[in-house]
Amino acid sequence: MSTLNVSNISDGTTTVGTEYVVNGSSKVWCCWNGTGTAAVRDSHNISSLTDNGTGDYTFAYTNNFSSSNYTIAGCFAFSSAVTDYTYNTQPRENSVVTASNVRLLTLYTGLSIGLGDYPYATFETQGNLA
Amino acid sequence: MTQHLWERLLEAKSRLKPVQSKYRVLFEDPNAPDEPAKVLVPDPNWMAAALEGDILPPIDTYQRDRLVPDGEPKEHPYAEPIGPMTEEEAIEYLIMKDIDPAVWRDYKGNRTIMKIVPVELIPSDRSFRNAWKINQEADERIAA
Repeated sequence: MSTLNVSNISDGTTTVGTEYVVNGSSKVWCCWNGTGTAAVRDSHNISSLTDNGTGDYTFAYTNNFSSSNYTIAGCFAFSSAVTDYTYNTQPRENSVVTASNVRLLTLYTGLSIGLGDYPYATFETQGNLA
Repeated sequence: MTQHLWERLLEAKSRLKPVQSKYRVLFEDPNAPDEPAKVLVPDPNWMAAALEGDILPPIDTYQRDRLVPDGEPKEHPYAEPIGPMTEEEAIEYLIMKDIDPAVWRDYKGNRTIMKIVPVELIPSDRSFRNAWKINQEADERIAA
């Protein structure tokens, strides 16, 4: 693979520094199926998914972050249309976000609250790699 | 100069077909005995890179980096990549990389707390997922 070393990228009218492109790209992403036997649907920079229990997963990175100061976002969906619940992917607690992995919960909130497994679940991160 | 691991992963994803492993690693955390058995699932893109070779760093670089404080330079992204692994070697690499040494190295009890099993032995019915434990009998299936 060849490398193009440039400081800026331009479409003729707008110019942006390449550091914004590099720093702004997602460093880790994963789409997984938590139903049945949990499996990764597709991903980048993940070495493994660990199914810890209902709605509880750990993702290990291949290229770790430089520190635990990076951002995480995610969403997931039930197998049919849902209008009375909201879903949220969140770290189990502050200490489970580390440079090398993260432990995430898939939490539903509505008429009741709890953890669940879903056929379409995702998360992605942004931050500085090691 | 060795290409950064992140660049090697990008290049590998663009040309390698993902490989779904036929193995899973069951384990229990001796520090959290009330938690259910966990199931480690190898990532298909990672497995493809492991089988291909010349992409992933040596496992000992990750182990040394565990001792490096947050924000300090890490060794593994810049290490010379290792050659191709078999699927079995790749699973052993993943165990050492992604599972706490308290499970695979330090545990001295009599209970079996880790097993590598074919994926078909993992139950697909998750009704009692939070009651899964590793069966201590000869049968390798998870017992609820």
